[in-house]
Amino acid sequence: MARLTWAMAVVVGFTMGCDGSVMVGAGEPAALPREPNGPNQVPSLSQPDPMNPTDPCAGAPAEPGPAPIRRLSNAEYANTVRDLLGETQAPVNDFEIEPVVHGFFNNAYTQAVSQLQATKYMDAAELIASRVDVSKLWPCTPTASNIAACSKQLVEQLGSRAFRRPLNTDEVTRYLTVFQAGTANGGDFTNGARVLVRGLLQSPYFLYRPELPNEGTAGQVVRIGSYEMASRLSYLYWLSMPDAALFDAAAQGKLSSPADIEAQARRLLADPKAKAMVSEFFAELLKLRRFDDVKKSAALVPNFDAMRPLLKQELEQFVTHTFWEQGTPSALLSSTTTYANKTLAGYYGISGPTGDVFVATPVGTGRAGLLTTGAFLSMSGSEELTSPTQRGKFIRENVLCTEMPEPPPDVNGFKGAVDPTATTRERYSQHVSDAACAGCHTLMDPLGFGLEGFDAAGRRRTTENGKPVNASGSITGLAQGPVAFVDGFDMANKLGSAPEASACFGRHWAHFAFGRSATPAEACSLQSLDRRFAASGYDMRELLVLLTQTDAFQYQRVQ
Amino acid sequence: MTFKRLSRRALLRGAGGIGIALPFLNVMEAKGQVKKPPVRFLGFATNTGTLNNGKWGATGTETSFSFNQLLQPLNPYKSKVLVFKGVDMHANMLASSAAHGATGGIFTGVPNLAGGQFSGQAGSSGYPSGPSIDQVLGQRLAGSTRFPSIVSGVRVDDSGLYGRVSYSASNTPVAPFNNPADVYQRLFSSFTAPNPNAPAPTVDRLQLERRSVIDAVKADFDALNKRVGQEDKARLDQHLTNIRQIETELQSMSTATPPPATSQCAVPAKPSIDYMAQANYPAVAKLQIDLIAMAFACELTRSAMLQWASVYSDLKMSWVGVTVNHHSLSHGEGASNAEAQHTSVLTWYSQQFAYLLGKLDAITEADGSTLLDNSTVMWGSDVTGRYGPGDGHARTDIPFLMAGKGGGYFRTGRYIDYGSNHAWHNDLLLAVMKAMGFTSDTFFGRADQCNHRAMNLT
Repeated sequence: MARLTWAMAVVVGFTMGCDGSVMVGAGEPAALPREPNGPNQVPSLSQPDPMNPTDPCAGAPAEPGPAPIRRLSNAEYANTVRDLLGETQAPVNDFEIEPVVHGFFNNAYTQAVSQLQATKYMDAAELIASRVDVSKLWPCTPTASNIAACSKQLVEQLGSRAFRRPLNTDEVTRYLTVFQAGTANGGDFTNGARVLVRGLLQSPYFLYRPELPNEGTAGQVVRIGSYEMASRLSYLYWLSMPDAALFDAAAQGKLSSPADIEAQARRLLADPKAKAMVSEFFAELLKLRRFDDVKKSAALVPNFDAMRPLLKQELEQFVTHTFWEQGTPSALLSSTTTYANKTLAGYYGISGPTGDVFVATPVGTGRAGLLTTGAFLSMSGSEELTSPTQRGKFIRENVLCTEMPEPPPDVNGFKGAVDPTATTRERYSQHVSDAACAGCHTLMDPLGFGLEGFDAAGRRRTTENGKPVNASGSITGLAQGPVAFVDGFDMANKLGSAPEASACFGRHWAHFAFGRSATPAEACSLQSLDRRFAASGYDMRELLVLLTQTDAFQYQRVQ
Repeated sequence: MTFKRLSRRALLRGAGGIGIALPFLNVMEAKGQVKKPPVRFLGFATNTGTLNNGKWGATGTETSFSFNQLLQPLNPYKSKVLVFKGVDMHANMLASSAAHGATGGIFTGVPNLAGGQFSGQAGSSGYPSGPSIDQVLGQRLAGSTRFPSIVSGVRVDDSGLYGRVSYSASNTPVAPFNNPADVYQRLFSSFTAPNPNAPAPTVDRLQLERRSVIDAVKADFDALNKRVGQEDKARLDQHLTNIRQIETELQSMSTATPPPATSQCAVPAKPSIDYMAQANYPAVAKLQIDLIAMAFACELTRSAMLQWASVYSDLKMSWVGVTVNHHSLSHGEGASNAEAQHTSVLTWYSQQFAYLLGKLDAITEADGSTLLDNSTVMWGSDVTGRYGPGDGHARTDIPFLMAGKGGGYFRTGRYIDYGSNHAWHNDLLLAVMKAMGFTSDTFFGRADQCNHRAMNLT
């Protein structure tokens, strides 16, 4: 199965069968036939490549790709009810766990609502409505004599914020009826408001972000509407609903031009709410929530339970600081500054931090970037042993963006006795000596071996079972050819300077931003994105703005 | 868990014709002949197979056998069990799929859809291409009980292919209720006996409000569905269907026909537990089993699924000294005593199965038989497991096991070795349908996967 993930100008993303055959096709954009220019076609935003006068993308019309309807993810739901109603304890931990696709929870195609989840939405709506400060919702003071007009105002104002667009007359009537169900049979105005909130929070117009063009023939490419663009921007940067300024801009039609959109993009990115979005991105990509359940044996580390929260905090602070202060995937992979307090510094055997507060500190010999953080290193493996395959799989899939197929159904289990005196590297040798295993494992294990200088709890080691650790190897699959490394520090630096790794983080941001993978038809638009990302020096902060300048962000195809 | 006995109480009816029904009241006062109890189905879904080095299964002849080590906890129920050798998931060998892709096939008997959204992390399989037997039974028995089915989970921590065994249709997984409080809420919350000293309410305001909310939400879906494309509509329709199901269940609180009940139907206490904490796994297991048994006893549903963890779960059974996740143990990895740990995990699951059978067997039905006599419980997994033929992930020799007499349909207390002509699991599923009353059915899942050979189940 060939799948085009977000194609970049460098070759990434080939899949490999376990018999060693290489199936190229997923990564390289092929020359596309030009779509005929019709009278309603929108001019392209893609810049032709001046170095390639026969660039098939020159003058290509805008190609937005598919836009599957997106439901609020659990994180987005929590943020939205906070901004809409002041609810700070939305019960999203009880919601159905979201499937992980390409590392993230928000893939639009897997957001179907089961009966359990529909029940959860009802329970959450009733709970949130019971706690909301109703006095803050009313745009007027309701009395017995003005209630008809005042409740209508409430429905219009609260409804338009909940649906993120003005309500039509049918909808106003519909939700007035809901309000009135709450004032019937002895209910007061407050109860009416609460029932209204319950209804709004269960409506598909709240839970999903429909994008319904008002005009255009099927197949036509049109700009995203104003209110939908406001939501696209706010959910991209804040994982939440638009603010008043965005709603105003939508109402005035000031979200239609690329320049308008870029200006809002920069404003939202600079807002403190964007920090939570970036933290959520890394928490999902690095599976940080699973780290809470990682255990290590007392024989390996006497106090891992006490260290776990510190290791997690280090990784969270590392990615946050590195993103906002340096911004490049290269820094993420090779920075030698980390964040620790005195206890964590002691665990690592480095000096610097003197108190309980986390501060920036040089990371110490042998470490560089997120792959050598204690949390990343401890997340894989067992309670005592490292797993080079698991560590290497993460690097291959999430740093080099090569999707690894599953083991085939008939794979043989690990045979034979485990030699307790062997090193991990020696024990894993069957993976590469056995032809059936080697095809896939040669992509993963060597990268994991590069981290064998760190034990299963993330501490440095130079020997294992009395034998010296060998953490050398080579990074295969790069356009420049195999790149040798002598140890984990060297490997991290070389990954950091590989263009594939930078492009791969670009791809992750695109998956997170759009909630889907790319399609082959979008290759031209993506080439343009990639060129501009590279021209920025692979600055992810700039990438987040560039994403709003793509065809996929600004246009949609009429259904 | 303490149980509250309900006192006899007249059906409350308010001015609006809405009340809180006590469904089993009529039977408590009924006189006359006792009907044959209905048959119930329960799927018991574990994963990563078993240990195929003689520890699973049975030894002996068809009618004179003993359980091997891992099934020893089932000894008290031997006469009500059918243990097999040589059952394959043949339907899931048809198309190549990921190592554990047959998770979706255990109770559906169909292969997965090709390609799919889990590429990279979960292989190239999509979800199964058809519904699972618990959902089919729920649909075909619709109306005979208040709830078509209940899918309960014990820390099911994956909502992709490797964490779903119940499907209402092709490509449509049903999420398990991991929180026993949610199971209680759905099945039992309407049983709450009202305060005998309070005046009877004239209307149930919450029900009226909910009805109004649901009406508005449904109208929004209808309006939206007119404007979206086909692909979006499929997802929105699924959401709407589930809202309608909730609406039906809320409405049935006042209109349900009182079902026959056993003398042991009683409202359980409302559970409250941190249901995703690993250390609470055994307590959650017990609660979920107790709730399913009581749901059957109270005739709230006749079809249930109990789903355990997920293929790649990080659960470690610390309460039996296990320090490695089940999946690693199933490959003999993660510790030098991996097999001993693996044995502990599998034994623990057998003990849970035995506890379940014990709960069902302790409930006496109106005609003197037990709930276990009138149930068919099917235990399945997605692969054969360690040491099996093909090793690791083969779909042959799946450790299927059935318990309960299915109302007399199954001739239990036997060890059926299918020899070299393996049985196909679609035929087990078909037999379940027949036991549940659908005697004219000729296949389940796919016709070409059924009637492969004589099954010798009856």
